[in-house]
Amino acid sequence: MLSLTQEERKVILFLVAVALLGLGINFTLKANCRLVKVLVADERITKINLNQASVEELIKTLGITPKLAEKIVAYRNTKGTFKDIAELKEIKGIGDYRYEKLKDLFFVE
Amino acid sequence: MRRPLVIFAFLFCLGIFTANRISLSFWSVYGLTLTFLFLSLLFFKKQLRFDIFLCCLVFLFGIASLKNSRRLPECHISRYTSYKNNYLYIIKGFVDTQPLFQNNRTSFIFNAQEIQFGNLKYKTCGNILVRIKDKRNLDYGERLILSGALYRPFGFNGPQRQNYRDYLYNQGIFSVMSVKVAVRLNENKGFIFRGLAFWLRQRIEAMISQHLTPASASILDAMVLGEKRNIPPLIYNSMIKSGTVHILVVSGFNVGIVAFIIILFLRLIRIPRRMRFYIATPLLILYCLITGASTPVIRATIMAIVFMFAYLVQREPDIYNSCAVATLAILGINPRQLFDIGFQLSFISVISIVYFYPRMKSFLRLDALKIRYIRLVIEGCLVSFSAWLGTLGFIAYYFRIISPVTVLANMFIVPLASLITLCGFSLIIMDLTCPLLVPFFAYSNEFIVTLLLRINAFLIRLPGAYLYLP
Repeated sequence: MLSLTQEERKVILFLVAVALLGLGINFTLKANCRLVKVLVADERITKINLNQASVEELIKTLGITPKLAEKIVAYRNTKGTFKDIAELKEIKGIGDYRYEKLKDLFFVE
Repeated sequence: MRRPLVIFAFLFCLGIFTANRISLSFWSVYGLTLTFLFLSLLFFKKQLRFDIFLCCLVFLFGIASLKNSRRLPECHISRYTSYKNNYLYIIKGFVDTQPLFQNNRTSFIFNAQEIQFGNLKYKTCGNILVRIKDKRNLDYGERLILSGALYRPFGFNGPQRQNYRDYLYNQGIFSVMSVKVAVRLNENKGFIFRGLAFWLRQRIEAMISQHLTPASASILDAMVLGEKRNIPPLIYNSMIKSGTVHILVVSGFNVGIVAFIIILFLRLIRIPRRMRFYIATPLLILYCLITGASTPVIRATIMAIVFMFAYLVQREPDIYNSCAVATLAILGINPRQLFDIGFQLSFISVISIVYFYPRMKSFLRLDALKIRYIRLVIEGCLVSFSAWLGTLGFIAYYFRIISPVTVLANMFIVPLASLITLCGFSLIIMDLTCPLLVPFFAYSNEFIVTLLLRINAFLIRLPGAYLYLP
């Protein structure tokens, strides 16, 4: 009926299988936003949540000294949570230059 | 010639159409699709059974695609809106299309990213249609904070079968915002390539309106850029009556002209065949974006690229297969497009021309006709008649109008429209390369547009030229 060769069949089946998997994931994500963390490699994988990071985690981050890490955690404890990355600039010791270096390492949730 | 893609495209469309009629859940359809995928794998070496299972798989995939497209994300902007309420919404996002100024208001599609009402702030997604009073100098990609009333689009049942709300839903727009205050964030989130396309579009529009009278410029804008908003309603309605309104959109013919100009230029400067394809493809995509990437242009662009690719790999291009690729590509991205009038008319006219025209030509034994010019005229009539035959039912159903004058009108209007399109592109090229000659090209354009309008006005005055259905 379709007169497909073996190679064509393999390619079609592979493409349909991949598309079907993508369709299922797409629908699942729409139905439940929280699954984004599991199914999609977003910023949470490459960045640190500023509202959950411990002093040790912060120290391991490039460009943060133990003293600065403590200041960040202290600021967070006083304020409650960070609402925006830009709030980092309010911490003593983080000027514009350092902020530019740090802002891509964190996310706020 | 083998045409498996045509079968797949047909089954995929049938699946989407069926999904509109049945009330199965996504997961049950998905489960069935997986079962047929498994069966196809199991019977991989059995020719007939594999084919049947694969066909079922594609059909079910069509159903699952539409079911998926109908499911909106939990955080979608439409979940925060009702038909009408008095909340003041504050929405952060970016301009996703080129803003248009019409009827004393600026409108554009806005990609929402954050929504706030009262003290509550949420992350969101989805597009909204934004309307702001007066002219605003906004650009594509610009990040904004908008505040105003947010509501769902109303139906407005007109003479057409598809209402305005359905049209917007098919475009992925579920909310409309009347903006009171718009604040710029001085950031740009747009794609550079798309931004370049919008910039070029503005430049060409300005160029055309500089050299032509407003009426002629509006016709040329529609034919070259697909921009119909400036066409006077009187002209537009008269073209609907004569069944020639299709010339006021950018179609496969325009894409063909652009492809021809690009290839000709590249051939002149002795660019090798393979390289010509690599250069022409992005340029055609750019033209598609310049014209607003409407369905007929996307279809024509994909078909042109498939054709060029066939020549590149030295395979015989097949119009049915390239049409199937275009169908699968458009519906794969947005299955709702199947219910869009533009999509249906665009594909049905191409298919009916390709199907009916050669059959009618051989039936009338046109090749035996010795006088070339008469043959060309009859061939033009047959193309027009084939397209009319295919679209007749759809036009009667959606627009409640039948225009018997269409066949006669297209005989005169289509060649003139083709000439205007060619002259329009020549005008643009001349403006860039040799501005001294531009006035001559402008006069020619002006004359042909006037001729077209006068012929059209004459034809719709003929007795029985068109009739409205009850």
